[in-house]
Amino acid sequence: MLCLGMIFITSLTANGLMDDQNEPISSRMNLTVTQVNGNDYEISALVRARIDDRFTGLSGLEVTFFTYNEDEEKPLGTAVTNNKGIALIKVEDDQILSDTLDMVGFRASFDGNSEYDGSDDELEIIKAEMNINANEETDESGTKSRSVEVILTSQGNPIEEEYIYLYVKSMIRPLLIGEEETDEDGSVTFEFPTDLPGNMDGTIDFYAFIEDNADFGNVKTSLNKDWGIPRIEASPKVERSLSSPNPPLWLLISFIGLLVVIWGHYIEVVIRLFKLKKIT
Amino acid sequence: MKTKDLTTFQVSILKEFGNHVNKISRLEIACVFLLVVSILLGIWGLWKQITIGHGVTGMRDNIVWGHYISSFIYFIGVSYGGAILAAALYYFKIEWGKPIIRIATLMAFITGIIGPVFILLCIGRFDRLHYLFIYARVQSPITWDVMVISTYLVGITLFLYLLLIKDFSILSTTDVIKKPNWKQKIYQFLTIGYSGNDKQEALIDKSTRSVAFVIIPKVTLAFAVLSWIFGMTLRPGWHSTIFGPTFVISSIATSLALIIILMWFYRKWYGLKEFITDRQFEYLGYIMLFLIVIYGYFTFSEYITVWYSSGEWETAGMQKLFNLDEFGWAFHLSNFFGIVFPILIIGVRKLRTPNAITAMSLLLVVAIWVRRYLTVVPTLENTLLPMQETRPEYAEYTATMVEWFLVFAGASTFILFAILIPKIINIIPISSYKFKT
Repeated sequence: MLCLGMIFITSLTANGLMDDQNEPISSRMNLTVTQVNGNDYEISALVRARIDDRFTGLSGLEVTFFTYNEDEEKPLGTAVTNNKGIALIKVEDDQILSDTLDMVGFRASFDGNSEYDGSDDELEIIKAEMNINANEETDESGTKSRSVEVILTSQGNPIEEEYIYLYVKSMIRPLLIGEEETDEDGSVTFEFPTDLPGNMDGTIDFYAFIEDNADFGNVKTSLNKDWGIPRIEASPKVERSLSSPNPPLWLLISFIGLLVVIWGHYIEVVIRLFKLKKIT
Repeated sequence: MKTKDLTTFQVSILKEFGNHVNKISRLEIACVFLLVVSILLGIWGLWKQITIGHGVTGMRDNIVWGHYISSFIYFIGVSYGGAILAAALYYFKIEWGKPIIRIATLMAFITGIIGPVFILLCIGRFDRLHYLFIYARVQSPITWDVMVISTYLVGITLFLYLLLIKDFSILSTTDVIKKPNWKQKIYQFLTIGYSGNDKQEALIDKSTRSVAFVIIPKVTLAFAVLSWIFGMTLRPGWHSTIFGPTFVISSIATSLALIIILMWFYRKWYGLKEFITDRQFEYLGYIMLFLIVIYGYFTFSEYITVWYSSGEWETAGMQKLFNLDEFGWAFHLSNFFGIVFPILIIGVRKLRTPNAITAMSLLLVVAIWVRRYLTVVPTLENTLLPMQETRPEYAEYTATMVEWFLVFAGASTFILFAILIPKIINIIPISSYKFKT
């Protein structure tokens, strides 16, 4: 009887009648804010859950974003998480609420559904400004040298001893040009290479970036300069060759010609056969 | 053509045909049964492959070709060889070749149908098969091969039909042999109004000659295209200018061997000694000797060049073939039974008998299949890039039961057709033998 009972209980568990698999799974949210060009904010919320002992991003969930200060809170908008579980919105400076100390509060919230419990996260950052200047000099021998100066301040005060990364946008991954620490003036200078390939018009998009700062969050500022080597447009006409989509002409003519001759002969023979009955 | 229009000799051939058409012996039934079982096992293997996937074969990431491609090039090569032989014998009106033309054409037709089936077995996505036509790339040898094989199959079917049309007419109208209704209807349908008058006969002869004439260069090109799939690939063991000629010569020799086997079998089983004489065996043997000697020279030339040049990858590939722990036994035995033994049997006058030539042909047929396998697999096992993160068991190819079943099913299909076709089509062309020669 005891064995039968154990079998019964096990089968109930296997059928899910007694386990807690039907209860919503608890989710977690991580909020990140990037200050962009001193005016805009990119707010992203990563929503994850522990599934099969791994944290997995949850897609298709609606996340609501808010800004707040000591007095009020107002919604900024909603976004749906992508296949990596990230929901992203961009807002301008005039949409956010800040306090007297230039502290900006952000909150994101997922209300939950039948599958996952709700979660939220909040973050307060201090506004920071990052200015980027590009300088080019030519020495007596005619050799060009380029440098990029980045100045990081907050509320008018320079921020020192902060690592700034300079990247160039490229097709697959950004190219890291340098990593420097700001001095007492909040300034850092990078030497910029002169042989980078640029866009079709020879321009380069680059940006300075500080990451995961406890006070400022992420800060990013970008610039576009004509410092790249222009990309030569590929010839619209694709040459005929073995390796191109257009085969060599002699090959095409031979191939089609042979097929036409042989199949033409077959058709002629078949037509003759059809006329066989009429021949007396 | 009515019986009264037939000569006495032709009537006697008909009667003989009637005897073996209407009788099915117990041995034939047993053979057919075994062959059908073999084919069914192949179908079971195919079902397994379709439902589970190509994982049931021995093909993996590195060795992507195995039994299927070996059998494909084998059967297609044999088909091409039979077609070129039949067309040449017909076009040049070789008198002693008369009884061989039909056997060769039938063999070419059957193997020409079986060969492409092996390619289809190798294809993982049947739903994308039409891409070969709609996204055909003219520069690709695969495209050439698809077009050439399709064109060839139409050509050989047309040639076979033209050879048979006169006999269909005889068979549909004669009352010398008793035929069931269904056979009568088939013969009548296939006659398409041919009644044997002079103009019709001239038209058929002219059409057959023109098709035979076109077959010779077309099949030569088809041979070349099939060999270029390998020859134009930058793989040591394949990328060789002599690959094509070696393939052509060995395939024609294999066709001859298969024709000899069929001739021996039909002569024995249907009592056709009057038509398939020792002379045909001897003459085909001479042609085979000539081809085998050239094949032996090409093989020797290929490997001595590789050995002398000491190229790293070419030598590694060659060592695989010569190493007795790897493919050495298969390589040496296939060369012995594919080159040395045939030269011995045909070259020595006392050994040059129909039975000996047939036995030698049987061994040659198997030896060349092994040679095709050795063309495909050892080269693929000789990787050009380091095989990182590859499972050790993927480094070598071993055929699975599924592949063996399908290979045997292909061979069984050929043998089954060889047994059943003479029940419908007379092996000796009645229309070609007006009088006893």
